[in-house]
Amino acid sequence: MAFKLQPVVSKSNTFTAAAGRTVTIEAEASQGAVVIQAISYNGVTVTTPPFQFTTVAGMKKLAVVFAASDPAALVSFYEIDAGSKRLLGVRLGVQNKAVFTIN
Amino acid sequence: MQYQMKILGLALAAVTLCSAQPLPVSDRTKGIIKAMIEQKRKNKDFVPSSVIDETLFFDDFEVENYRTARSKQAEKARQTRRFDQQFGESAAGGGATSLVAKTSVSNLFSAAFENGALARDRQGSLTTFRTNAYGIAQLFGRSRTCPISDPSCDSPGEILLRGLSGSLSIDNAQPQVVTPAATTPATTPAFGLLPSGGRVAGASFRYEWQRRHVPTTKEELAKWEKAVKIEEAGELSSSLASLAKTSADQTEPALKRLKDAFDAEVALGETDLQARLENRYATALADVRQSILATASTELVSYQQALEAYDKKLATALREIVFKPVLTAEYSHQNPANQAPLSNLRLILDKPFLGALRSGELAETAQANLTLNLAVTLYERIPVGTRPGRLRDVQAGLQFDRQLGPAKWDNRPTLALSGYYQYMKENAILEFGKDPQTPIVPIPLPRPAVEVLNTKGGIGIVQAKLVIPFGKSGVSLPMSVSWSNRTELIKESAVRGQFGLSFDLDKLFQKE
Repeated sequence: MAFKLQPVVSKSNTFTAAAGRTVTIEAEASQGAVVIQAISYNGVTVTTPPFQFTTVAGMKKLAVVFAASDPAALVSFYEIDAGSKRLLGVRLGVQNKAVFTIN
Repeated sequence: MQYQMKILGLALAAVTLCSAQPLPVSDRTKGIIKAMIEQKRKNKDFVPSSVIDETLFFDDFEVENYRTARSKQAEKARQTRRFDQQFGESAAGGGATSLVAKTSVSNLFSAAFENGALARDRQGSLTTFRTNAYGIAQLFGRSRTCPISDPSCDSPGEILLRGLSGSLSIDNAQPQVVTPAATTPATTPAFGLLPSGGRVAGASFRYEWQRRHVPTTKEELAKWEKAVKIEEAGELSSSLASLAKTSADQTEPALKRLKDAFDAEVALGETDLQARLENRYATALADVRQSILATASTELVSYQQALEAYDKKLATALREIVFKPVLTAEYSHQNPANQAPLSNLRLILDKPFLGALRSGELAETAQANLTLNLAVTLYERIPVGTRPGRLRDVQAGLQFDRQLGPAKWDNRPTLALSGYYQYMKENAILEFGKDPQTPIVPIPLPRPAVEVLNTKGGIGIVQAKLVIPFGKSGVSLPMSVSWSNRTELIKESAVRGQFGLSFDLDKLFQKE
């Protein structure tokens, strides 16, 4: 179990990662349901599960577009690795999109 | 030289963008702030700023939001400053303050209380309620009305309903009998007497074939939709949002300030929290715009040019709608006191002109209006014992309206000058219902009694009217003075004063 994204403590929504690693993303809602509709990283868009991307060198944005049944629900995004998960960030259902910075 | 031109272009774009009106907070952002507050109520550990990232700004930078904000702004300006609506009874009515009927009505409901008389003889006190079929359908059906920015969200049937409206007038005065000799209270209730003591004085239906609020025909709709879509933007459709995405260095400090501001506001408690957070967000938005502006690039120039091209196209489309002539057809049933019931068919045509562009606004709004009325009045039934033709009279009226005061005022008084001519082809017929006596000398008459008056001929009236609106309340006060060479029943000239109070419910629903 080794997560590829390492949070930068001083900057929220910002992570570091070595190039060439494959990262899988999942979402969970505090109430109701949530589905990831697409993720986009380094110009590549994935619209069907599993929502994965391969890290590249340099600062890139990971954009996640999602839909939640309850607009007031908290939606948590996780990196998944071998059945374990680590929280990347939390959004509200109504937001519909989230952006994370990966260095 | 080319380099200097580019710098000049960037500088101009920067100045224009700086001086542009701040965009309103998008509905999406308002929803996010609302959800933050709800979540905070449920979960004390929730920190609203923890969910903030730069996507919060995206919608407010996108062309689509710009488009919606611009057209909403123009729609509000037009609705606030329009003066082409009829609130009181139509011109044919007995107690009306209007010599000439206007083409449009309130979008939902209006009420007018009027006192006075024009062509008729009795100084009446009249209450008129008007409503629009589309407004009622929206009230009980959908919770929202299609904005002008998206008129196609209505079905064809709903678009047709937009033009249909109706009215009901109640005469609040004690029924009276008027003859060339005298005016006396009637001893018996007239037709349509209400339990409150009032009397149904008339009802009408009208249809606006060319409605000014929105495109009404398929062709207009297609033209409008083409105009409000930003085709020029092309590859710039994602506009400043893409710029924002690539300008993380510029958005990051503003984002940090916004998070701190949000946390500070939440710590102050729940009072007006939504408004305070929206205010903080609007400040941050301006902050981010300024930051991005500092990185002036060719993208920014292209973006600005696309927005300017869009503004021009939208202004042209709005101008076509605001200044188009409107044609309305109206049928009204009238029930004048102690007279045979009448049907009035009226065509109303108007043409706004004299546009004024207010500072910071996109399109001109009209400051003057010319309205023409052509009408005929028919007897609905010929009383037994008389032999007039069905056609009682023909009418023509012309009115010039001009808004007064500086163009920057939101609610300007309107001065109206009008002229009206009515040719009485047939004599007026008085009916005394169950009253078996003439009004002055108690001469017994057969029941129901009728009297045919020698009232054929022309009636000319001129009127000056001032309508004073009371701020954004929807209440306005029409006051007028009129001169007529005679009235329908009395062949003597008369100078009269009329006044009223009208209330337009639309203004209450108008969002800031």
